[in-house]
Amino acid sequence: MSLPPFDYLAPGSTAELAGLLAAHRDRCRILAGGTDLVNWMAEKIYRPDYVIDLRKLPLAGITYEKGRGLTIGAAATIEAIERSPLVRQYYYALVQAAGQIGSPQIRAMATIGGNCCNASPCADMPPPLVTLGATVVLTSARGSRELPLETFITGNRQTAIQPDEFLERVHVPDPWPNSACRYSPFGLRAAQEIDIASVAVNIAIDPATGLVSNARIAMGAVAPFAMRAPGAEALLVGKKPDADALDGAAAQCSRECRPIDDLRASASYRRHIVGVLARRMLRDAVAAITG
Amino acid sequence: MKRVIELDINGGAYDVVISPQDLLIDVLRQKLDLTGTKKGCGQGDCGTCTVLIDGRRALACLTLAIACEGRRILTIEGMEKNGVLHPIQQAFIDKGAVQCGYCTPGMVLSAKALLDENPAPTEHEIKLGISGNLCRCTGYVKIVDAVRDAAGRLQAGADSGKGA
Repeated sequence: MSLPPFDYLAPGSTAELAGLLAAHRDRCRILAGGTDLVNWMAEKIYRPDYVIDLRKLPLAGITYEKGRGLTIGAAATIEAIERSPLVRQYYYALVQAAGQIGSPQIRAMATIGGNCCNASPCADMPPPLVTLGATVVLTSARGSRELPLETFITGNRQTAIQPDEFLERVHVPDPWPNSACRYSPFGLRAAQEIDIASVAVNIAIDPATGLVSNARIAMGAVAPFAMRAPGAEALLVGKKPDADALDGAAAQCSRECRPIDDLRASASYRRHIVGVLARRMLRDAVAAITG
Repeated sequence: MKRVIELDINGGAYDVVISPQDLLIDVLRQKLDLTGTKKGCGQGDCGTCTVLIDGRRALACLTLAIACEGRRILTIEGMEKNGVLHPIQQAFIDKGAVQCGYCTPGMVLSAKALLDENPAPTEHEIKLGISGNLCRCTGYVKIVDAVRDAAGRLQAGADSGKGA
């Protein structure tokens, strides 16, 4: 296997990166971890004239500030997210998602920016990020704009990014008070697996009333992108989070998802698994809040 | 366009003429004759091309050589010191963890990354640590035994080192 020829650029500042993107637009591809891009170039899916490597840029930081939330640089590796004590403390579903991606080698190379921009329907980071209300900051020579991840990913491997933009960072707001988030993928083996389905939940309970005050659910690999389950969320809000309510919401997730048949699983099996995962994750999250 | 880059491999500096699209696995094997690192699937699934870059696991089949300038690369050839095998390598031999041998270099490097971070892993942690390395011969049991044995040897070495 060999790659088609290209020129390699490694800008030393984000301003330089923005300039290169403005100049080369569709003729270049951004290299972060390379775990997708190198394969796609080998398969001749992409034949860029320029590969622009992010490795010299300060885009790998992970910071948390109370009141402002979590900021993850686009080039932060999946391994760094998995191991971050800050992420583990406040956004546990992100640790669960990061820990499930690929293999230890892939996690040491792959980045959150790549996972979001390549926008695979079965990507592991988007479902929990969507339930946490994450936004992405897109930067170009024209300036920066911030939009919800939920609207950034527009379809199967499609995003709202423009050819002169790069994803600079992912921002996750402070967790809701008295809340917990949980994520589980489901595949046929534990490592190096592509998910059949996945479910992320983020739920908050009002300590005064014991009722669900907020709920978000996102489902992966059962639609072209991480898909919210608004019907199931509505079934939970204002209710007591007992077994009946959680089971009802989980069943609604099964109804709301839009899976396809493919070589990994049938649509009906995916639908069933979504219900199972949703019930488990809701119970786990509620147990984490109520102890 | 060809260019000359300097790569730091196993503590030595190598000047090598490469094209930007050259993959690290091919540069190691074909240009530098460091054929210990194996090329398997060529798409990041099998893990046999695992090397350590700045101490972290990396798949040489998905890494551009040109992106490795200024970084420390460790391959299987860099594990032995002064003709003495690394304790992980010796444990693989002593425990019979090698059959066809094709996965072994990657397994050894994954084991090194694991034990550098976690000197006393549980059996589950060992399995997670080598979960990105496929072996089609052994069924993994003897490989897990070897990594556990290597952990013991390294800890014993570290303890005796403290006493000396």
